[in-house]
Amino acid sequence: MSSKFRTYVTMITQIAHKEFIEVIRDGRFRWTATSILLLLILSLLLGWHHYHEVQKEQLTAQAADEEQWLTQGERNPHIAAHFGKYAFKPHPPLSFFDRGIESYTGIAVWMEAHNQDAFEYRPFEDSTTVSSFGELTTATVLQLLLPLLIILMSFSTFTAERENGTLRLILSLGVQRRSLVLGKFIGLTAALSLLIAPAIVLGLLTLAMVNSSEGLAISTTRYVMIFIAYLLYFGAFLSLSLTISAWARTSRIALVVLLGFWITTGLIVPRLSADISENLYPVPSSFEFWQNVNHDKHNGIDGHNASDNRVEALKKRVLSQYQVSKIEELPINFDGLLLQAGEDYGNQVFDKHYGNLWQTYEYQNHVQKLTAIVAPLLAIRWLSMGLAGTDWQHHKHFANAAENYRRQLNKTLNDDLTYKSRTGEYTYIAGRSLWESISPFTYQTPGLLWALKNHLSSLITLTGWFVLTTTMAIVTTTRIKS
Amino acid sequence: MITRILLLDLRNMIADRTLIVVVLLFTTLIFYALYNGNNWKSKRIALIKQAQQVSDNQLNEAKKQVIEIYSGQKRAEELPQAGRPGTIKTLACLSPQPLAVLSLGQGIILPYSVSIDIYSIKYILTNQTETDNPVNLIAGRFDLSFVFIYFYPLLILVLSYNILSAEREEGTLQITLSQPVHVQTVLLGKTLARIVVLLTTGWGVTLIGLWLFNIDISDRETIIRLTLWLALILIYTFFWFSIALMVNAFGKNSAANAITLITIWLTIVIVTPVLLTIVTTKLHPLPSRLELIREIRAADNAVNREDKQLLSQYYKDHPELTVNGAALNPEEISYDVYYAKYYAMQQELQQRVMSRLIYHNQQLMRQQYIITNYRFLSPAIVMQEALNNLAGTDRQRHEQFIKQVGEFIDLWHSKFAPMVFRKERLSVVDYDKLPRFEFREEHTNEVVRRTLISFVGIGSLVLIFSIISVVCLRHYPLIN
Repeated sequence: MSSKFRTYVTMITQIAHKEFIEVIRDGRFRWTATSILLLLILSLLLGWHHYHEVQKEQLTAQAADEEQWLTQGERNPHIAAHFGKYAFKPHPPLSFFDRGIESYTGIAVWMEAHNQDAFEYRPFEDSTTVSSFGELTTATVLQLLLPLLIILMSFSTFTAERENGTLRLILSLGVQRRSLVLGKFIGLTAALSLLIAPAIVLGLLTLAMVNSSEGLAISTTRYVMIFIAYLLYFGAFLSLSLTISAWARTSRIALVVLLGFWITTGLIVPRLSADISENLYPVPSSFEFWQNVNHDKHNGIDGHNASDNRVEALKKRVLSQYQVSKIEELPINFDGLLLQAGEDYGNQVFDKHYGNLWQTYEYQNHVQKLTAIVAPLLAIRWLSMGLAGTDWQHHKHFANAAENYRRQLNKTLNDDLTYKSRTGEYTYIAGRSLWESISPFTYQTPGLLWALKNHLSSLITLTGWFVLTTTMAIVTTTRIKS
Repeated sequence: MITRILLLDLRNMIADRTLIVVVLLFTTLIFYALYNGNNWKSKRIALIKQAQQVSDNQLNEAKKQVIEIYSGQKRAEELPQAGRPGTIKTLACLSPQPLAVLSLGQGIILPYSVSIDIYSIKYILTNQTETDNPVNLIAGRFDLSFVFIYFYPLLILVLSYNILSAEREEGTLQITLSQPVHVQTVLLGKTLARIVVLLTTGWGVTLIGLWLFNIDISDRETIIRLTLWLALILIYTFFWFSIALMVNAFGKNSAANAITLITIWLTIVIVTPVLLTIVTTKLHPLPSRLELIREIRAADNAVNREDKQLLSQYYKDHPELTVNGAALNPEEISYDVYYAKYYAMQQELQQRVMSRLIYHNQQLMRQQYIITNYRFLSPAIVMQEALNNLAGTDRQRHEQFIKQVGEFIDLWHSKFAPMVFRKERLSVVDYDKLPRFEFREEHTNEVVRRTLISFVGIGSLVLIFSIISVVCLRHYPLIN
């Protein structure tokens, strides 16, 4: 190592050390950091407890539902189709960390005949006034409160030096401006890590507690990725604070500007971008949605009403296929075919309407992701949700899996009715053997790469923020005037 | 003297340009929030109207069928569903109040329209999940209560975090106090200047906005509520100024003040509400919705198996429903029997799951009661509760709605269920005299009483902090 390089490193270390000591001795930092650490611990505890409960509930419910299905007794397969089965949303292990949209989407979906139902019981409908202020999750504490801590501990890092006259002193000693900013960055990061390190350890502990041994590897990978994402986020805020501190004339200006940024991008922009996205891409109300669905279905076969043109066409086709003149002469049950034709048509209608609805959501989401260019909070929010497995894409994936199962379920039941009974045989009943022949609903959460792929734009935006702010920090410091 | 200081400080702030920025920002946010609130309200009203229209059309169609049969235009066999009490439906809706724009509250989440027929079960209102994008729900709504509860305090803090400390740091405080004037007077004058500006803007822009958006504030109830709203904003303003003054009176420098104040803001506006929620949900946890689903399905299954027995049992319990001593034959395959059976089954189902549904509701209300009783832990909670109440978007009003819908369901059942069992059909007169759901609002006196309590509560805090400020000012270090 050349001596010049060694001096360089020693200089940075000294600056970092001094910055570190100064910050951790500051009463403001101690108070705020301790409070945030307490909140983090609390949120981790709550997150773990909540996860533990809902996971247990979901497993019990799914097992109980299967039991109810199998013991429904002997009945006509179509009655069984009306009884249907329930699919209960699973909770990814990392939901203890970031609950994403879990509270805002239904927890269960009824897989019944004729209808692709909406998910039922959104947890936040059971909230009281106060809960509308937001949930306490580790993610929200890290996304909203930690940047505030970063701002509070670093807004005056340059301005105080300038006001106290020490900046002139340091620069007169021949310290390079680059070393100064690097040293401060490292020192402040070290102070911050006093807070973050215990949080990370606790997070890992919680992770171990919520996972089975096979799941642990996958979850840890996600956890590491989340850690990197949040590092980029915090780094961006730190660099931004250093930039503003170097640029501002007084500590007061630096603080006001940084707080203004935090308030605007943390409180106002998220709400504003939600409003904008809704105005650009409005969704139909639930009432309109189902009106349209019913209207489209009505113009087709609905399976219970035998007086349609399409029914006539189907009748003719089947009669000629089996070469008989009356449906009572068919070796199969025409009602079963009718029901399945109704399902097929209905499924097309649902594909169209749900497709449009979900496409609209995705356009809205896209607008919000674009807004992340002005508000890093939005970028980290999307990325965090996606990596934890509690974002819209995961929900849609589950909804689609449940719907595919529903369609398969109905087909099996209708086929049984069609091929095991004759037309007009109203007393046909099936029993447990049929119910058992349908395997229970299982679901596999998609992998990490799939999750990342959905949020590439947020990852890029976040990285962009980090690179931009760090560059700005270096540039502004290089031009710093004492 | 105070007036002189007030005017002088006003001039200073305007020259500083901070005031203009704050006022402009505030005005923009209020207008935007009112626009949002009005949008939501108009959409909701339009939706209710639309749904009501569809419901009325269906009833008119049904009435037409009955007329056609009576006038001989069609034979009864051609319209087998004509006049059947088993198919008649109506709609019960909860309309937003005129001042709903002031706070969207729980109005955006809770169900607002219920379809009612003889099979309706009380307390099961979630028959439609709204189609909002869940991602947008995380962000929360940009409504007027958000502006006034969250953002307005920040504006107050921006204008007053250094109300005294700046003068000390610039050295002008010494000069001012060399005149025969108390430091408290100076402070009062400066504070009043700010209060006047912010309150005028807040009140004024809101009132202008309400007028511009054609919000109907002509009836007595609305005027009372609006006056209460103005009073709440006033006391909330005083609260935040008293906090800012107190922190200034402690004598620290401007930057320290800013940090202390932002931390206080965070605690009052974000942390305390969240912690209170956690406590209430732990104290009165809601029963599992998943278990509810299971219960309902199990009951549904059991009830379906017993459909014939239930019908027979129902006749035994209600002998007045037999026609000339003859009950409907459960084995018969006809619409009459189908509807009667379905009705008996739903009654049985309601019986089996009712206690669970009621318990769920009670737990939620218990949580709400705790929050109402402990709301003074944070003026932000007080304000949110009070504003939701004034706007008619609180959970309590919704509870009233659920209760009244339950009563209406009972009325509907008592009128039409017996007709099913007696194989009676509706006449044209019946259609004209159908019961209609009308929501009875709570008495304004209740609203006034509750709001005044909140007002006095926050007022007490203002008093306490003001006293602390006065005491601390005695030892205020006049030079750095």
